[in-house]
Parts: sequence; structure tokens; C-alpha cells
Amino acid sequence: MAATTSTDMSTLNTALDKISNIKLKCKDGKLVTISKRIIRESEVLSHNFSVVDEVEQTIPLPDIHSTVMKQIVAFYDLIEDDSEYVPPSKYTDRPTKDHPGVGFFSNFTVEELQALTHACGYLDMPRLQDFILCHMIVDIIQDREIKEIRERGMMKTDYTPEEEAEFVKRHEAPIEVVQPQ
Amino acid sequence: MNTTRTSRVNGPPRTRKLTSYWKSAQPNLSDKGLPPEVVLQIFTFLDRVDIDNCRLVNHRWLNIIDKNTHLLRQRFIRMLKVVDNGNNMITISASSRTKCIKYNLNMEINNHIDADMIKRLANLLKGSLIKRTVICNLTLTELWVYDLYTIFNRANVKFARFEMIGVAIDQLTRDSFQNFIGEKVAAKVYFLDGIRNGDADFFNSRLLEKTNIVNAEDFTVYDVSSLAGEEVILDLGDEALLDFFFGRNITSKRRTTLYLDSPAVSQSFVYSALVRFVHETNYESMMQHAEFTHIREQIIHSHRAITNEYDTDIQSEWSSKNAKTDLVLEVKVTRASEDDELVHDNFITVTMDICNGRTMC
Repeated sequence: MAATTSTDMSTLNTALDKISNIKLKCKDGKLVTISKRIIRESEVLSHNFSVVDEVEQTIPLPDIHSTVMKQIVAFYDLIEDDSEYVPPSKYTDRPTKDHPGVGFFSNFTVEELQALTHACGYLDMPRLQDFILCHMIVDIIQDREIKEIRERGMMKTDYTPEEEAEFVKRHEAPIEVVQPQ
Repeated sequence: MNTTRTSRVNGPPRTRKLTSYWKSAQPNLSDKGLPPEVVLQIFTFLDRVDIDNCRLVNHRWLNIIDKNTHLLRQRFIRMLKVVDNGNNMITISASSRTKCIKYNLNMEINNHIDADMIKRLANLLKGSLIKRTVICNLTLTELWVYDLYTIFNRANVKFARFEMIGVAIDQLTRDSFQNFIGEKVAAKVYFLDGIRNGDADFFNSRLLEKTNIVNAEDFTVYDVSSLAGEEVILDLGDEALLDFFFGRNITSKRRTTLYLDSPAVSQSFVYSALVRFVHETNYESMMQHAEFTHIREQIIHSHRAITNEYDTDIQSEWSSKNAKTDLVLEVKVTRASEDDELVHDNFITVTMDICNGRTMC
């Protein structure tokens, strides 16, 4: 979806100024209170806000379960950065391991992650998408042995034992490994 | 109906077992998962060590990584050394920020790197950027040049600084030496010092026409000695050297310094440089600074474009201004004073600098 234009932004800001508490009515009928920031980050929600004249306090969201929405709210509570999200273009721009958002999803089950991925795809939230699909997987891979990557990533190897042995032989420790001075 | 037929148009061939046929028809497990674009995006956030680990996870990841090496992080090697320690022992070592890997090769049996070691070294250096490469004290042979090129080529490495120190080149032909540094090893900075058993022919004008030398930011040749241990005069000539300095037919815009020891130039080299500079147009590709040591005494004729800044026994300076731009070529000719016993009698150094005329005023 195209980025919100400046005129849309001003309408969105005036619309958001009028209300204090925004509630979403989820799939299971429960209400979830969300911050204005989540609305700004989601292309779908911000677009809705920028086109309607009168803002209602409760917005129906019949496609997302309340538990998933609560997880999204919890994630945004963790992240303090309030600036507009710019996807990292360089290796050095990526969030570090200490970033609270990186470890947030690591204990989630596959089903939960699937539901979250669908939800952030539906709401079109680039920051959340990057954290779930990118930084979390980077966290799984980084500084780990090959076996661990396979286990945590739930992947099966298609290398034959001979191929793997060949690889190991090629990567075998050389005659001498010394610590640089 | 012909019952002896072994295959049908539709369905599995009769001779093969059904189970194996359907197994092979099933999509490969490793095809499942995130789309390759997403996986590649994830890999761009990883360190080289982690990328190497991922290559071993499954074939799909291996393919994605190997096809897109240029988009991913390169291995950074601080220093690659090939050093002849004497007694037929050659050490090849590569050090990164975290570790240093060293191979000791015994050259007693065959004076080249064996195929297995080439494979290993190429694998070690794969896709890396080498900040500094030093080849030291080695006697380069055709086989060595070929082996080194094979390793660098297979590993697809990039060089920043390439140094050859105390390397003997008498077992190479002129062409293979010039091709090796001029075409096969593409570095930004070349530093050749103390080349042994050389010949004036190795450093002739054709070397300065090689692609990599032409595009190098910095090119240095110091102290080339012959088989008899005498100093070698580099067979370059005024015209070739000035073409190189002024960047004739050169498009690279990042050329900074040129240091040459004992180039065979005439007495009017500085004079021709000053006169030629006035009408040069390719000023973006000119070397910014050049130093020539051990050259002949220079004679500067009077010319309306040349200004003599000062003239003493020890140092003289001339300058000339480019007609189109505001650039000024400053040439300093320094002679070693007679009292200085440490220095050779006719030790003359020429320093050429191109600077902006306005800032100078």
C-alpha cells in the first residue's frame, strides 16, 4: 500500500486529536484498547481514520482475534522508539540483540507466530513485519551451530552424510589457528 | 497390445517401483518455507560467519547464498600474508578481526601449491575483501603466479592494498609478471618494494598501460635490483610516464599518488611536464601527487608559461598554470647536499603536486 500522503496525515492527526481512547472490537467480540501509535504504524487503520469524518470510539475489526491484538499491543509497549519507522537498508542499521523487540517473539509457538504474521499483513505494519519475519529469524541464526539452526528453524537437512563430511573436511581447522595480537 | 513395453506416455514407467516413482514426484522438502526473497533479505542482516553456517543448513539456502554473494556481507580479511621463511617453508596466513589462520607449506617436493590446498584457501577467502595482501621474500615462478591467480579467482576476492616486498621475479617472463599485477590482481593500491633479480624490461611502459595499474589510486615501485644486485633503472621514458601522470586515455577519477624509484627519464622531463600541463584537459584523472627519486639532473629552459619560484643549491621550484582550470602544477627538484655522506652523489628527487591556484593565492 502506498504511504500515507501529507494531506491524509493532517486529517489523521486532527481525527486522532478528537479522541482519547480507541477500542477495537475483535473477532471474538472482546474490546482491546490500542494506542494512537499503533494506528499511525498500521497503513490500514491510519487510512481508515484519515478518510472518515466522524470517529467512533469503537472500531470493528472482525478478522483479528483479541489475543493476537493484545500481543501486538504488548510488543508496542516494549518499544520506546516513537519515530516513524524506516526499514533498515544497511547491515549496520539492524537492531542489536539487546533490543527488547528482538527477543519478544522468540518464545511464541508456531501457531501464534502464524496468526501474528497474518494479522500484521492484514493491518500492514512494516515495523512489526520486519521484527517477526526478519529480526527474529536473524536472532535464531546468529552465533549458532548448524544443528541448532536446523532445530530452532525446524528445518530438515537434505545433505547426504557424505556431502556433509566433504563440507566439514573443507572447513576443517587448518594447521595452526592463532589468536591475533 | 504390446505387453513388453517398459514405459507409458502417462504414469510411471513399469520397470521402476511405484513407491520410488511417487517419492521422486513429490516436491522436495527443502522447497518449502519462506520465499527466497525473504530468506535473502534475512541473510543481508547476518555476519559472514553466520552466512557460512547457513550454507550448510540445506541445499536451498546454499543456492540462495551462492547466487547472491555480492548482495551479502563480505568476509573481511585484515591481512593476507604469503611469506617465504627459507628452508623451503612458505607460510600463508589470513587474519580477520577475530582469528588468524596459518598454513605452513613444505616446498621441498614440488614448488607449488597442491590442488587440495588451493581448494581450501579458495574456500577460506571466498567472497572476501582483503585490506592488505603481502607477498614477502618469495621467488615467484610461473606455477606460483598461476596458483595464486587460481585461488584469488575462485574465491572472487577484492583487494585494497597489494604489496610485494623482496620478491624475486627472475623465473617469470615479463608478460606473466605484468599480467599478474596488471590484470589478474585488481587492487586499489600497489606497493612494490625491494623487487629482486629484476630487469628494466619488467617495468617498461606497457606496465603503465595495464588496466588495473591505470585505475589504481596509488602506485609505488621502490628499489628494484638486478640479479647482480645492482640498481635497475625502470625503462619507462618521459612520454609514457607523463601520459600516465596526466591520465591520458584514463577515465578513473580517483588517482592520488605515484612513487617511482629510478625511472629512465631524460634531462628535460620536468620541463616537458610543466609545458604539457598548460594545455592538459583531462584534469579529473590526473595523479594528485608524484615523487621520482634517483633521476638525472634536470634542465629547465625558460618558457613563458613556466614560473621559477626559487632556485637554490638544495632545492628549486617551478610552477605552471593550466589555461582552462585554475590548477597549478608545482615541481620541486631536490638535490642531496654534498656534505651528506649517507646519500648517493646524484640523489635527485622530483616532487610534482597539482593544486588549486586560488587556494594557493
